[in-house]
Amino acid sequence: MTQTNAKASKKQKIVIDPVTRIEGHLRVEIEVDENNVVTEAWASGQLFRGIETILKGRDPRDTGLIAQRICGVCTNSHYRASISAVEHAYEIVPPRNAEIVRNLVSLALFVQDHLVHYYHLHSLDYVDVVSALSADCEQASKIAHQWHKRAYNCSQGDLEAVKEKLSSFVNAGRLGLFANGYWGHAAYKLSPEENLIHMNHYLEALRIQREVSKAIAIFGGKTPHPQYMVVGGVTSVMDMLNPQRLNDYLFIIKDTQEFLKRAYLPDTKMVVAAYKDSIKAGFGRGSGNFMSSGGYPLSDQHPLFASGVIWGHNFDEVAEFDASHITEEASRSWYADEAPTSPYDETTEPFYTDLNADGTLKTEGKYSWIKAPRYQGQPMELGPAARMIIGYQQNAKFIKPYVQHFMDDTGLELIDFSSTVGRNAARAIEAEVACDAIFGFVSELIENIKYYNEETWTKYDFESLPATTKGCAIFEVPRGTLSHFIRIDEAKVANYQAVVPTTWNASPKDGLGQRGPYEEAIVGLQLADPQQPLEVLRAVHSFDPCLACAVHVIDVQGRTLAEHRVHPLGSL
Amino acid sequence: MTEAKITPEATPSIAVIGIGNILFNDEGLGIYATQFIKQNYDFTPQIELIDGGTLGMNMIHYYQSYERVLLLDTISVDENSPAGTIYNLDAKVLQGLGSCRKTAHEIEVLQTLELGALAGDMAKIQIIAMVPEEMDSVVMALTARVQQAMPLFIQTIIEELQNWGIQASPQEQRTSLESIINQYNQQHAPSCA
Repeated sequence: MTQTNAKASKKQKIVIDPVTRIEGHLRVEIEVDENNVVTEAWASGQLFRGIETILKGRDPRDTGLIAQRICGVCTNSHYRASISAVEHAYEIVPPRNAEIVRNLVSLALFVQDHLVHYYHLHSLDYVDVVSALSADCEQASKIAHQWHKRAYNCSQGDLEAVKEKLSSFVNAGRLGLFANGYWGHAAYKLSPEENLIHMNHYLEALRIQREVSKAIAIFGGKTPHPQYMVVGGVTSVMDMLNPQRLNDYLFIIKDTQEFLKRAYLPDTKMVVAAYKDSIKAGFGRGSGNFMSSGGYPLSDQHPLFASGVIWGHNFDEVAEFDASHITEEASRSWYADEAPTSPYDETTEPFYTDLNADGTLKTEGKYSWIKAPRYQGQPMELGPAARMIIGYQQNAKFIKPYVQHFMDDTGLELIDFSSTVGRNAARAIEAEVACDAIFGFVSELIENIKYYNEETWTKYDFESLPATTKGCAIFEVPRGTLSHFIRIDEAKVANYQAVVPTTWNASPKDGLGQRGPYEEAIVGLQLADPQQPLEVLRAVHSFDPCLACAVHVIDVQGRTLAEHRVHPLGSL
Repeated sequence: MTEAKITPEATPSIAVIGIGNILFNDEGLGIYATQFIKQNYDFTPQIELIDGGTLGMNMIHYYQSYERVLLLDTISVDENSPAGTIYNLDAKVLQGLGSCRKTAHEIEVLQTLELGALAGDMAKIQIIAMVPEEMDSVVMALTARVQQAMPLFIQTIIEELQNWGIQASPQEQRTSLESIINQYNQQHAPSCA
């Protein structure tokens, strides 16, 4: 037997399912060699499909109301994309005030999504709650103030209160909320004091994110499924023109800004310092193809987010972004139509080829419900890291100084954002960028109103619009570039496709065998313990996955609830 | 129709919130039920009836804005609870079930109950939930078994509210469940003109 063969025979395959709790939602299979280095990876997941079926034949002006239900987390993003795609198809340009109001909602969502992702969904991959319970609060307060001189809610008394609250929660047997199964793993590096500071901000972030919901509701409407946007503009005119409402909104954003600057950014710097070696070693680095569609023009027309495309970490050359290069293909996905196709013409005909008999993915064939979006035939990484890198290189006036400041403070370089921890750092910077940019949009709106520019809707006569047309909306949302494509025939929806950020990042391989960004980020990782693949989870979670929102059932399997069952009268 | 107000001074103390995604068949049962009682009953004192959709983390905000919250949702229990089975639970019964979630779409009712408890100022929460038959197909409709169980579901909700001291009087003009579902299928964007 040759040495190569001997090595090959030592490869072992590991199934990580679920990466998320829900089985089949997102699963990763990896192959590791004798040094526990990942040599190949397959990411398989479910995404919403069927939107075109439900939208076909509808009045294009109504698509936003249905499309927003694609995802409960990203409601507003899909709502806006759908309305904008129809506006694009009809060449209707909403007034600037309407654009500003839409931005005030969208940017507040960037802040809220990033906060919630970091603290409530991802931080426990780094923070050990049990360890926090043994922290010395006096020492923890000192440490917190080393990271920010006005550290958020970090007096010794504050931290003691948090510790007590956590202890009582854990003592009441409610650790489940925080449990993630890997505590005590060698890759947990924060000290008990640092863990306590993080948990303190985890609790504070619960309050902050709730306040941001209220801010969004000021413009976005009162119910979770808003109706404030219409083709041509927004309907929240009275809210917009009411100084008290604007003031309420600003008050919350100001409070949030304090949290970002005095908690989120310092906490991120703390983690960056603890994991600097792994960042510098490029843990979780992908292929270096980044894409951003830019957008959110400021009052001087400069976009808040720069657009551009970077290939293979070659930061010095930023190519122009052109949406017509976007295709989706399904060679390795469970659909019949495999060839790369423009989303305008795509169909979504399922072709499920099942799993192997032992329940593993058929890694040689089709293995995911997620299609493979490509730009000029290449897989692309989207999201905060892409936007911060491209914005920095394009001299985006808001982004560059924030990224520079962070790099100066932490000793990171641009390439370092292309890593597991780096993606989280980029996300934190972006939360600050988005929050600060909001103030500029509000000032502009106030100026407009002051000079009696109160226009919020562009009039159009639907009957005289072209009966046959097509359009798309391509814009940046918290997890990356979102695009909706609509084809209209006889004034009704003829075809509809949504290509969401997670489709790009979680994409499977394609006809050429090119890995998707998750897969690329995982390959090359060295695992401390293949049975506890924390490094893989961290890499995947650093992308902030948002997959199928199909399962919202209260799952109480295993608990006896018979006494709470409701019986019709007389049937007992 | 009243909408949920965010400003504290306008906040009444009771909210009924339907949870689920109407695009996925029976998953929308809580939403349809909320809309059904909204269009068929008058309540004294007034209560808020909210189409919660798939609220995720935003649920916590509702828990903290009302004194009592009634959640209407789907539930998965065990093999002895076929589709159409209804449960009426104090949220405390579910305490400790919400474990760690890693992605935004996995924040579900159980997690929000735990996170809400951690955040404090929680409403008293009751859950009326039904076992669904089908939640995979993309269709705005209910399966036959769930439809059959809907009258009992509605009755359970009304009785629970009456237990809370709410007077529920049926409106003269009845709106059928079928037409409620149809309203969602035919919804139109508001007009600006």
